[in-house]
Amino acid sequence: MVGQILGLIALWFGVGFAVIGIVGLLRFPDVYTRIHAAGKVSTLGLVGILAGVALLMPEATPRAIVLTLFAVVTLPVSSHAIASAAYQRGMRGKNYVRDDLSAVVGGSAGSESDGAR
Amino acid sequence: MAIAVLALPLALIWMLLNNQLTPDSFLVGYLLGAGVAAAAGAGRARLRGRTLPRQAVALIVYSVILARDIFLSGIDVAHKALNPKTLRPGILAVDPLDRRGLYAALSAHSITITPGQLVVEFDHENTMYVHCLDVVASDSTVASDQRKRLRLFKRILGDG
Repeated sequence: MVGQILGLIALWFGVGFAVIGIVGLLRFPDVYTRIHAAGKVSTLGLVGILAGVALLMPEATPRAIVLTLFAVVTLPVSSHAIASAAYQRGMRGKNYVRDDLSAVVGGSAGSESDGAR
Repeated sequence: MAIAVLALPLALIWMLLNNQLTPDSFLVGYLLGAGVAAAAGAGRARLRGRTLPRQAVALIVYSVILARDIFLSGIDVAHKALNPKTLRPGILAVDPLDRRGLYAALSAHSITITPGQLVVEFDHENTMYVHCLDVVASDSTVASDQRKRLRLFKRILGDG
């Protein structure tokens, strides 16, 4: 009974974070900030949902734990790959306070932004 | 030697994934784990029985710190997602303090796991370029965070 209540709380926590991740994906201004929203906030969403599964379905608990570890360890790799590819393609952020990397890569003139719509 | 030890946690993961905590399942997992460890080059790794417990403790400490960071900064980023005007994005150069590829790669992975910071690129000297959602707040903490992170990595890998 207590497990079920905790499981539902974890599930709703996860779903809430997944929704906020999508909101961030839509509202953030450029590629890099959007990667943060999609990759990171959604990690917490996934962890919450898997924790809910672990608590609500005892027969799937070990699998949920291992899946959580795999997801947390592998998600940053795709975030990093997308960010790196975007920078090398010449996409620059909008209104950046500071960009130490542009001096190294040699930013394209007129700081091109991505096609944020 | 190293392969025989490293196959143990892999056998545990195998048993958890299959949901079968039986001796049979352990044996299959152990053999497969030994194969994976050998393929990953564990044959060259050196394990010293004396420092192994310390390394395991350091790994657990690191996991707990990481879990706390992911949780706290996840909430912070969620707050920013709902108030995009509070963003102060930017890219900082961060010195990994140890320019060997292994430590730079582990540090970059660790930084990227934590919400709010994301490693975009390395230069030829393995300096990391970190994209931050709040560059002003991150600027004051990245250097000391990296120092702590590197100390833990070295303890986990039994390197001082």
